[in-house]
Amino acid sequence: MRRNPGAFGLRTWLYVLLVVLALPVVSMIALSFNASRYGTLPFRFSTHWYRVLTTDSALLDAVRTSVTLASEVTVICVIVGTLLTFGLHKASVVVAGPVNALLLALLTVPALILSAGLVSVFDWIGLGQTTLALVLASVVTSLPFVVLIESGRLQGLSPDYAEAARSLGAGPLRTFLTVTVPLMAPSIVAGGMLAFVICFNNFAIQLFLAPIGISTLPVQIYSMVRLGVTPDVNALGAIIVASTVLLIIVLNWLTGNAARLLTNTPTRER
Amino acid sequence: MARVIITGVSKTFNGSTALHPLDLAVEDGSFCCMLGSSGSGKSTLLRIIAGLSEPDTGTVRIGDRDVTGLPPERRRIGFVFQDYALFPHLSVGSNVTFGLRARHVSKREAVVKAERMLELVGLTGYAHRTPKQLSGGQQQRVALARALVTEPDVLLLDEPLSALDRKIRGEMQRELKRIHRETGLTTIMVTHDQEEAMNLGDRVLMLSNGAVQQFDEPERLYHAPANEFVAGFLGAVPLGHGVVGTGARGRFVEIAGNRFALGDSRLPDGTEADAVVMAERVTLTAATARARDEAEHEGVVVSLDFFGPFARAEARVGDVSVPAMMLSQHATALEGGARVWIRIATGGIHAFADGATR
Amino acid sequence: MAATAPHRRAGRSPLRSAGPALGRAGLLAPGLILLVALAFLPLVAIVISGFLNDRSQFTAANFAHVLTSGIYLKLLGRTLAVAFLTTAVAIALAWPAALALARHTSPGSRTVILGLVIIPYITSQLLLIYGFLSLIQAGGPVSFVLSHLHLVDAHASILYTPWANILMLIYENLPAAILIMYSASESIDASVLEAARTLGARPWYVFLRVVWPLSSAMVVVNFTLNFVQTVGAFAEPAILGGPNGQMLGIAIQAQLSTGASQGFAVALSLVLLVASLVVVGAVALLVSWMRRAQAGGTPRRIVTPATEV
Repeated sequence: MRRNPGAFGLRTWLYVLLVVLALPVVSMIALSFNASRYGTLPFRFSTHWYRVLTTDSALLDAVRTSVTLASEVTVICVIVGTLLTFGLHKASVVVAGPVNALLLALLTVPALILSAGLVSVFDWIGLGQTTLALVLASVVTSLPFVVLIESGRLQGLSPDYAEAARSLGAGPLRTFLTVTVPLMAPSIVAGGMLAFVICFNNFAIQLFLAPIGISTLPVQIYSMVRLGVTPDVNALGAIIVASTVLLIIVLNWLTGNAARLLTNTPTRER
Repeated sequence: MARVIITGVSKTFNGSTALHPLDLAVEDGSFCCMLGSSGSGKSTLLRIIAGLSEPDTGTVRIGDRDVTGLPPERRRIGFVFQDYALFPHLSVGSNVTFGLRARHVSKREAVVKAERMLELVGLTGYAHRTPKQLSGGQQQRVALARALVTEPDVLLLDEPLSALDRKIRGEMQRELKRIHRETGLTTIMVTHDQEEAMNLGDRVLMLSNGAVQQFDEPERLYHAPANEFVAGFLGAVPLGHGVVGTGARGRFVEIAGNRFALGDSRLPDGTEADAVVMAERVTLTAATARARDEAEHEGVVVSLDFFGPFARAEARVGDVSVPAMMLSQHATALEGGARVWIRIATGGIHAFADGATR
Repeated sequence: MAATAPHRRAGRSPLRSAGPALGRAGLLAPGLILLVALAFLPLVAIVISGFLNDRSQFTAANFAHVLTSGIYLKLLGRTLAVAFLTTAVAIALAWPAALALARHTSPGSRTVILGLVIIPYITSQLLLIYGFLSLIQAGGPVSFVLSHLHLVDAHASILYTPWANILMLIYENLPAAILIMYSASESIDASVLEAARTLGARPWYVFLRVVWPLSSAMVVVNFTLNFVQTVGAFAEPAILGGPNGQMLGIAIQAQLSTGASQGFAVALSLVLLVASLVVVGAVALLVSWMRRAQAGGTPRRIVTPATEV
């Protein structure tokens, strides 16, 4: 492109925006190697905060709690979500319509407002703020993402494969297990990964439903940040961002396009 | 209306050459067809004329204006896309008035002009429909009306008929001819269909691998192809490799001991050449029907294919295989393995020296 | 569930036709139970508990309290305004970048750029807030650079002002806006844009008359998703906004956390949800009206198409 000022301007803007998007993340990573107690400049290199992190039991406990919670929720979501996806695919409109509407409502309604409702329900049924309540609530908020991703893949799947298998003499069950499930596998894994991320990050649900005395990572950071800057959070953040990058690479490899995946599920919990 | 003059235009994409430097002059009011297979550079050239793509070198002139540096919206062109590219959010009428509105023509005047143009393409009364409600042929007409209504200096058509089915294509060809006659607009059309190019073009620009192979009238292209590529693209079939000579009945090319008459050829005697034959200029007669004429070859039918109105036979003359295309009614007397007399009409064989000149 | 399954054609054995229907019910059951119990019921519960007072009596007092309280109404207005502003600005900033991403980048760099956009999109919001806080706090990188350029005082910072909250919300809305507008831009046929240019339309005219109407549906989707989520923000204003950066979410959170009056918290949530849906509806209506006004075409004096052919 020799002459195209419009395209050049747009592209420049894109790069400016990318830099802005990266700033908080980059600053967090940079400051994790800065010696200052208050996260202030000038910069002096130090791995001090990573050492502090290994001894900060509150943060590490919170990470452990969050990973455990997200793992449990992911397993449940993948199983229930996959069943639901296949069920919805075959179900009549009378069933599929309201269920899809409900899933969409779950994606749209702010987590804070949903939390308010869940707190009431759990109080009524006597679960209150328990680990079970937390897991159930997390499952409900992560489930729509799994269904959305998997049903997107299922709808895009040509019925030819299954029909070819049937024509070759495979029964419905064999066809399902040897043809449909392997073809769905990338989206099942991708859905699971997304469920993990959504659950891991779901601050509002965790704030209101976690049992007293147990802090997930977002809740722990929330309580620490309100008391001021503590640079070991930077160190932890740097590690989490690194894992996120890894996750995106895996998602890209699994689905060919991680962004496509997320534009089809264009929301996240707040 | 204007001449289009291209001087030294070339283009490379990511290091591979799409167009070698080429010159081209399309006369005012003429209909030029750019013919070639995909990757020949024909669409690239058209897009350079339109300003949708930039040449690496060279200039493009439309009329007396040098438009090389101008963006498409300032070139006063009409462009019809292969996939029509109608605006899906606008009605047919608004599609046609779009160019006028963009040029600040008043709404009332634009509507009147659009209606007149829709009438020209035979779509009176369709203004309120959406493009989706129209058939492919109708959409193509809308695209044409939309391009013509702005009264461009030149009309550029990028494979406009390739997405249509066969029957409608013939109809649209007649339509394009009529519109060209009525508007007298300089028209440049890209196509990969040689029949379409022959039918529509006053002149045909034959492109291959980003280089001009021949720029000529359709008849000249057919009767005097400049090289083996052009002949092959127009349907000629390789006959074999031989030597050009002169005998009692004029020029010939000798292939594997068989002498085939050449029309006029500028190749000197003794030149090694590749010969091609046009199957539609070969006639087969069953040997049982009559005695052999001395201009005819003797051969044996190897295969016979039937295509409805037409039939195609393959005959062998010694080691040389000669194809023949005929009306199927003439094929009834033939059968596989039968002896036949083979007559090749004058000019049915072309010979090209290895350097590719005729 | 089996009853709702469509009846199979005659000629198949009853066993074979019962199998899939039962299987279908089995597939659906766990998900349905979970969804009804934990999605449908909470949504209903929100509505019901909003009408309950501390002694579980049915009353509209909670709503009366919200709607007559100047403080809460002011907070509601402010919340909607902040959410509208941050969502709209994020779309406006993201759109040109998304166009560039869809049209003017090579496929290879596109994958990398999309990956970069996704990083903040799936990073914990608390970490992002924390990163942003450390970025803009007095003595942090931004303040350090600006004060060394002698543009601002070394101890100046927008932290703990409403602007910090607003910037953070714009930032959080950006990745989704880029991704959605990217897919909107990508879905517009390149040849349609080229056609507009060949018809004499300048770039700005092309944007107004072609790009905008063809993307407006996605703009509404984008707006809806981001706006409703932003309306429910509470961590951002609580951490970054300081005493003057309050949004309604903080009030809801406070009511919920103290457990003082769940009914009132839910009533606040409902009012907030309904108000934000009204805003979304108004925006959607406005955009579709604009689109229809533009599509129009020639005045209606030609015979309507339905009457001919």
